[in-house]
Amino acid sequence: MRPSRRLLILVLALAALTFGLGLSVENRALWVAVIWGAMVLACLVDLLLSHSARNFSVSVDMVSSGFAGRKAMLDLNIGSTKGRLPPLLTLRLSHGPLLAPQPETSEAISETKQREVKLHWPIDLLKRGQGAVTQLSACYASRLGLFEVLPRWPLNLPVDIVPDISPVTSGEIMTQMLPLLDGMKDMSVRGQGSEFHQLREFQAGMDPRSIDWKRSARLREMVARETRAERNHQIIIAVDSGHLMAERVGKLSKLDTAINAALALTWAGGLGGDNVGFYSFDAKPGQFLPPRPGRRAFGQIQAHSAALEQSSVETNHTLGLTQMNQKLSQRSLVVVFSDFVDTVTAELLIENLAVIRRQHLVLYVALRDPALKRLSQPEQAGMNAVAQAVSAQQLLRERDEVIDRLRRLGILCLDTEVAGVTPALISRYMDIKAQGMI
Amino acid sequence: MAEAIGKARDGGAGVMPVVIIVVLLLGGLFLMTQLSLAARDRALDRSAIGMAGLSGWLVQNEVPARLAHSRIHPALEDLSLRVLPLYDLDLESYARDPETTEELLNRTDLRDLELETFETKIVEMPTVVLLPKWRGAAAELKFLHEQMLIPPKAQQSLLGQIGLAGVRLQQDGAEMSSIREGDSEVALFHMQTFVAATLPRDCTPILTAGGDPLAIRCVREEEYPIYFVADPDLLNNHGLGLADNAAFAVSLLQDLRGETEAPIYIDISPDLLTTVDRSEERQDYERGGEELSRFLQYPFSMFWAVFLIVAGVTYWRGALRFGPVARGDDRAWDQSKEAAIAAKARILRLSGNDGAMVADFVAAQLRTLSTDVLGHDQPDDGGQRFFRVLARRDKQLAHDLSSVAEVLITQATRMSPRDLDRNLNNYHSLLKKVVEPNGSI
Repeated sequence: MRPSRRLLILVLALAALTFGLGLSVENRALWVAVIWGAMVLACLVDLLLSHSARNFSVSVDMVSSGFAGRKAMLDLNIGSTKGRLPPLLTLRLSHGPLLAPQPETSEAISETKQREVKLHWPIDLLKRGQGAVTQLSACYASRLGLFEVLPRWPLNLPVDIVPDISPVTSGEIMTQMLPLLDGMKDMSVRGQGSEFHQLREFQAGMDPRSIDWKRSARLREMVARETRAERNHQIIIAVDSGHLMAERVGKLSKLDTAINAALALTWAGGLGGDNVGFYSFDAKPGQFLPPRPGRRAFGQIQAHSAALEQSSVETNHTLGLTQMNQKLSQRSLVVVFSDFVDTVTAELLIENLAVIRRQHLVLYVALRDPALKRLSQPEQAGMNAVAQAVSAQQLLRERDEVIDRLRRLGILCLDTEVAGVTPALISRYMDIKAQGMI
Repeated sequence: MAEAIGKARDGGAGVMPVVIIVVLLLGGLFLMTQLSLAARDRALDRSAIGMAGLSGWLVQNEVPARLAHSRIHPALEDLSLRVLPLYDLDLESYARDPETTEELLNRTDLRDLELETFETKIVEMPTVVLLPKWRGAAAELKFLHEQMLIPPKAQQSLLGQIGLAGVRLQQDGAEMSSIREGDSEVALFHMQTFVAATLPRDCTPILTAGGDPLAIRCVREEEYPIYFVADPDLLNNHGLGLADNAAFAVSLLQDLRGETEAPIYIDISPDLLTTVDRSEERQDYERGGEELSRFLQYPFSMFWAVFLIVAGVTYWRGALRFGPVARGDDRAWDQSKEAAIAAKARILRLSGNDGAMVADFVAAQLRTLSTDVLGHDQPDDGGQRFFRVLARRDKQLAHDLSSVAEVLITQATRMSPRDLDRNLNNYHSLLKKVVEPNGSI
């Protein structure tokens, strides 16, 4: 409990009055004593009439795990065992750095004679890791408004924040992969591939280029070759966890966004019959998970990426990518999630990707920051906005130059905004499979 | 090489003596100017209207007297009476140095005295103020003439400044006027007196000539009386030599000085040279516990109590926090790129090349726009193609935007900040008209 602003103002006003009386010629000590005594009496009456926090009962419930970038709902129930609740309860939560209640301060308003109030409080899950809500603090005014009562209830609500695999669990990836899978129950990948699958009778509407003319002549009827996408290719997902990937774009950091997209690609690779491996690097090479088929790979990569920590040092692309290149025994699709600032810092990245490109198919995923675009096209025409726009335009121009150089080196580039990186990545994977580029 | 070095040394040896000679000449000229000013000042005191003779005459007659000197600062307690001749008709302004002989002879401000200094001087001790009468010619030439007189009307503003507002002066004709005062006969040339009817109530005549006061005594709010002498010839070098003026001057000043033995101070300096001995003003007090205990008695006891209550309540409120401690800004990593852009933008502004910056901005924005509309791999005139596409939809808008963009790209570096701002706003509003209604453009 602490004095309210109202009491503070009252005390200051009485102090001013006391000084005024003290400066008068006559002795006004008695008057002063009466005034201050009345104020103390008002405080005592206020304390007696006010609600006691001991009569409150609080129950809190929250999910024990959630996806990074999503919300977790905290259900709060505050009741009074004796008397009614105060008309307005202001609430705040003590929590770890991975959580962010929205809003930070919530208000519970109870109607007249209401003895219970319920509140649903959304909490943003900012990063992978383990967050916890440790305390609930409340604040309500006393009956006459002279005091603010500050009860606190310790809580123990841990929440595991894991990479977002909702596109996997919701079947979104499966739906996107359907054109490639073509509905086969045995999951053999049929359709536009390069590997021969079977001969079948040609029917109107089929691609005339698929007609096998020699066999048609031998069988004396038109037959067409049916191909399927090749299977058992290697996909290596290389994620940069250096300090540039810590930049927050939207709700999540670039690293978290990359991990979410990597897990979706792992699932899609499993559906496509390919083996998926995982590799992380920053200033030093990280752990290399060798390519494995299907759900085994997904489980391993999910567990490993959930524990992947953000590094605060600059990435050593030469060391990281060379180390990975040495571990790859056969031609693979290497998907690299990394970032750069300008052409100078991107030099080593370009050089090392060009080396890997000699033996493998490289897909470089660059996460575009919408803030750069926004800053380069200012709404206002002031000089400061123009100066910011010129700076942002320079960064964008250098970024385009790097992407252009990578493309000319034969490296596939996916330069997309954070919100659409997962579907764009799956789509590009399907294209690569369909065109038999691996 | 050796020859070149030798020449350089020769040149250096030739320049230094010239520099030293020029510095010495300039220094000498400066000192001579200062000395001539001081000499002119001393010449005034020795001239016919000066006061140098009075101090010597008084000392000769065993009346202690001191002539003011700029480097000697006598204490007020050591002096009895101040004789203050005025050579300035306006105490609130500074006189300009005369540039021609005519100005030198006609000037009325022979020695500048500030009003504030005058007022300080007359309150420090009993003072005899001698009003001005003669122009500068009286000090420069060896004779006196009617034309050298300062007309009484010209002294009205001075009389107002020294507290004699409304008092008028009058001067006799070109003759020697004499009055008898006791055994002495006082003679004055063109005698200047106060008009008796105009004297204020607090002033009384102490010496009259035919009914008109020659000297008056004024008693004001100050501690000491002030004496005003209408005709300075009564005490100056010229007047002391006439009739019995010298003997009368001694008796007059002795009377005004009173019984004291302290010397008379002939204050010819425009500065305040006297000092006040303040050694007796220091007072030491014994500080005991009583002074401290007074701070704990009524009403201070009440004030302290209120202070403690206010401090307690404010501390109580500040000591208890509602909710967790607010976290510091740990988004340094998150904002790294935006912070870098903001820093770079600040440096761009500080470099002072706003024109070049705007030209670059407009060119880059048009390039981005044409890429968005027409795609990559445009030839160099992609901007022109964009304007042709835009002209098919709105010819006037395309023309306006093209012209203002052209002006900004080519002439922004030469524009004034105002023109630059105006053109940029125009460009921005036109660009909005292009982008908003035309969709992808």
